Amino acid sequence: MRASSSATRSIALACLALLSGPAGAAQLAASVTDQDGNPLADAVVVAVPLQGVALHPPSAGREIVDQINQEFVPRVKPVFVGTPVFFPNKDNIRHQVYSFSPAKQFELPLYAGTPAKPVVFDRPGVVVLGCNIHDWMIGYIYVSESPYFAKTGADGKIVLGDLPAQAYRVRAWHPRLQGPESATQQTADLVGSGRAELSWKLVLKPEIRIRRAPVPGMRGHY
Amino acid sequence: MGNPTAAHAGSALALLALVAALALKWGEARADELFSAEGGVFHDNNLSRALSAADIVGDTALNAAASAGFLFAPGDRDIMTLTGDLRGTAFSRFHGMSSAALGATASWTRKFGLGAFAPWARISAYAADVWYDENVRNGWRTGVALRGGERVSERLDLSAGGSFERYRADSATAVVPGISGDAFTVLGRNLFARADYALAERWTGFGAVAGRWGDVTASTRIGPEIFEYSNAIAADPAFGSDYFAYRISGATTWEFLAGASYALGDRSSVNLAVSRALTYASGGIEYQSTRVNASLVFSY
Repeated sequence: MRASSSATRSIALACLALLSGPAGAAQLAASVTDQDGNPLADAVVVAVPLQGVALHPPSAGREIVDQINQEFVPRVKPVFVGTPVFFPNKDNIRHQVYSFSPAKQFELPLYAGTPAKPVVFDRPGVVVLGCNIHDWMIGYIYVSESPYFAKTGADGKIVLGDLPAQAYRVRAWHPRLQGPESATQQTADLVGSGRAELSWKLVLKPEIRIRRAPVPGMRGHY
Repeated sequence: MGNPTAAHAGSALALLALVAALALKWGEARADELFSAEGGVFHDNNLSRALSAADIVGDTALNAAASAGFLFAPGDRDIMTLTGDLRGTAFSRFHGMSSAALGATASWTRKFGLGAFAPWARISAYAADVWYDENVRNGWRTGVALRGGERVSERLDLSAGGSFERYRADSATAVVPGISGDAFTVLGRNLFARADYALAERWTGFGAVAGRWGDVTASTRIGPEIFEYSNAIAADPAFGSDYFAYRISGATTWEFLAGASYALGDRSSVNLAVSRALTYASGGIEYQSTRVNASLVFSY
């Protein structure tokens, strides 16, 4: 599994080839658990070539983060830097999506349906999404500087295939990660065997998010 | 005047028709459905709000409530809600205090900024037609509240406000010549502050303090205080044939609330709350009550 947009991947790989990176198809497998050893979903694993990453290519791909039942779907969306992302609203009420994150600050005025223009995420980093109408809505766009990334499923595992056979710095991130992402960094050398396996046991902080469940006397703030 | 029950039903239906008409109109402009339901049990150790130990009666009740309506977002910083509300309470001993209420609530919330941490203010108004098993207490409950707040962190949410409330009894039968029988009609002003704190992923603790100034209704067997300090007296068969309700004006009530809420999921919670009310009025009148409430709340 690689960047979910095949177009983005193709362009990125082409750029890498132009950078005369090592040839060959290698594979990186990874598993992520929490501190108790339970498989961790929604963790993003990013592999950054030690020889440098491709120049940021203009992205022809597009990604989507839906709003369904007053939640962002998916809750965590990794994208390659420069990728435009649409935010279709599939609820029967208008949403107002925003972010204060340094990697991308934006606000989509109250809207229904799909905004005509996507939001382009042009700086690497974590972008926290919110909705100004429904305070409990929270989502994450992980903007990767490398085209080699994937998000874990319920089994906590990912496989990055068709990687150029070279050495990588690989790191893992999760919305509840305790401590800096840089502390998760490992090295994987795919030159020899063409395959490597990595694992992380991430220490997670408690998830204190704005509560959607009702509290007596507050009526959901409305 | 016609049959009071028919008048009640008619007014309540008119209120609901208004709510439905507005909801249909605004519903066309993209409304989000709101639904919440609550069921639980509570115990009040001084249901009669009596002064003397001999007159204090406590009771336990089952209660259930449901609200349904719509949420609208007319602007980038505004949220409106309109709901129809139904509530029922059934006491185990004093059945005359059991009641049903049908009403509506409207609110307008303005956020002063963008995001979950922006301060906000809300004005809300409600009206409900209330029926008691002992229909001497039947009436309309109305009120308007202004509330503001700010989430100061992901854990701590603060709010405060004030409200006016009125309960207008449908009937007033005088039992003492020259003294009003309108003992159940009361008017009050409230100031309140509340804090909610996320203790853990699923646990929220909350506490509130409120002050109320205005009329209160207490029930007791016949005694001197009801003549000296009250301005209305009525028979109160809900507590017994020898009980009288009397209204005191200018009373001050301080209420303290503490509770905890456990989220069962995104849409439901179980809750336990304890409140203590202390009421003071002229002439040294003072009574206290404690209520313990356990509830299951669902919202959609």
